[in-house]
Amino acid sequence: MNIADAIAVFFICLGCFFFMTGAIGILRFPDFYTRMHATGKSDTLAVLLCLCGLAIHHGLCLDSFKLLLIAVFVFFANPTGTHSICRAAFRCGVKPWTKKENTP
Amino acid sequence: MNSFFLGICLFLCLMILPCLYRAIVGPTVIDRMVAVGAIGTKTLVILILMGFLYERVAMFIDISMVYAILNFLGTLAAARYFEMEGEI
Amino acid sequence: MNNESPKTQTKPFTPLTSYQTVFSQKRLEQVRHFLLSFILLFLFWLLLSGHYDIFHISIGVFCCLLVSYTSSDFLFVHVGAGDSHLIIPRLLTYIPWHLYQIIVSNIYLAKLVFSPISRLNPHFVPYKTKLTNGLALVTFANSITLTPGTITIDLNDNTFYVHAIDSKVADDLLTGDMENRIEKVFLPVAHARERAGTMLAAEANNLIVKTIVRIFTPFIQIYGLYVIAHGHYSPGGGFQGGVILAASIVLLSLAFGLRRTMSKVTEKLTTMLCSSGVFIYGGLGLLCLLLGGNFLDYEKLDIFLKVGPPQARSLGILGIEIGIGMAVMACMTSIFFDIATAGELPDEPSEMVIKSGDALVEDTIPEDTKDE
Repeated sequence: MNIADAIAVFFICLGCFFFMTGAIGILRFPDFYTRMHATGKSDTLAVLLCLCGLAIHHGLCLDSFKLLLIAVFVFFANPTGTHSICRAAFRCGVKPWTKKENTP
Repeated sequence: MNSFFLGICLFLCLMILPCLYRAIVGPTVIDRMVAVGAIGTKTLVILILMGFLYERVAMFIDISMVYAILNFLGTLAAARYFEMEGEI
Repeated sequence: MNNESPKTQTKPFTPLTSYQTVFSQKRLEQVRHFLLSFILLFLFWLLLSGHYDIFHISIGVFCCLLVSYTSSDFLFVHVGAGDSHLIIPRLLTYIPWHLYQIIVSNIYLAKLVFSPISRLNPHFVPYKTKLTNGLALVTFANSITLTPGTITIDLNDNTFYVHAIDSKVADDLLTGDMENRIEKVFLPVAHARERAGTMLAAEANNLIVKTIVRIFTPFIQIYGLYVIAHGHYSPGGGFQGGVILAASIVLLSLAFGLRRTMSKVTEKLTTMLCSSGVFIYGGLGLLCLLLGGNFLDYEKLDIFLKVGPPQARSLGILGIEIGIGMAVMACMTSIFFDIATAGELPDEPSEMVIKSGDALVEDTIPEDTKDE
């Protein structure tokens, strides 16, 4: 295993860790908006890290650039999707979970 | 390296389970949409890993790019629908 | 493109020379936008294609010309202030800081995920911004979404509604550090809309989604054309490429509203594209039949094309793919329109609100959003 592969493995593992935090966040967080925090942020970074790791593993060729292209697409698309669906919920009047009401 | 990729694939499949739980149980419809979006993001990475496993990277990259576009489109469409309906 | 008409109508008594300068400047800018988007899209095509022979590059040039003709105004919008070239290098200096913020944000979130729920203290924070340029606002909104503990919920009258997961992170945002950085990046045009004397408020309706979709659409269309043109090397071909092209139009109508999209991609256009696509497919097949081969026996086309049978077969497949792509794209688009409208155009209140900024928004939509 050479050094590029080591870096790739590190990146992919880090990405998987952030996928895990996102998944646990979806499971645990109390309401819609807080769950959006979990998906919107962690998934973006996790995809970015995984795809960068795979691109490093694949070496310098056209496919690596395509991988980075997907990463860039997700980097812009994911926060936009998060915003748009949060906005829809906000305008439909989905009540946010607040600390005061739920903890004595 | 292949066994590592296989392990990551399995791990991501495992990570889909919590999202699936949220998609099935989720108290509101919009929760389900979010969970489906999250599953889509994980699927995108799994598709590329499968490309590496089958050694047909170029093909699977094209597929996953389309998947990314459609995932984004689905989220926007759901948001637009809920906004026009005005209730969830 | 009728960009020059509003100016000339509002100032009817200005001397003829100023008319001409305004006109030629607009014209010059249009040409510049066209060339810039052509170069960008062609680079994108080269990155996708991977086949660098004359045949494929000429297909690429044709596709890029087509897309940059139909959507040159999508990528570069008239901002009313010169000297916007500096934005890109400064944006590159902003991105490393942004990436660092994203990592910090995720570590913060990871801590929250593993701590008890009572640690959360979610609340909405209104945040008044001084930025007015659309792109700057979109960058700011997406930066807020990706940085620690905050999500942009809504953008209204220059006010961001931000959902903060903790009271501490809201304070971080309110210091305005990030806003200052973004203002620095977009400095010459950050307040451009204000200078042009137009209000942003009306345009701000769904601004973020509109801007991102506007920027993505040409690239998605190029990607669809790439899938059509490279059908015999990679997965895909006419059907898949056509669906991707249709997806770009669906995206447009989700962001800009059905009414406006349907005024550009009319029913007449989709019907024409659909039938001519089927005509190309059936015509090529029947031509092969007339030349003495089987249906779609491309090798017989050799007589017209004057190349060897293998090249003739490859060209024949390309022709068929183009026909199928046109037909599928038009069909999918019209199916979407039919389902979404149910025969009649609904009133879209969110689109009707736009009044004073309408001219500006209109500028971002070219004459024909169609493709192929």
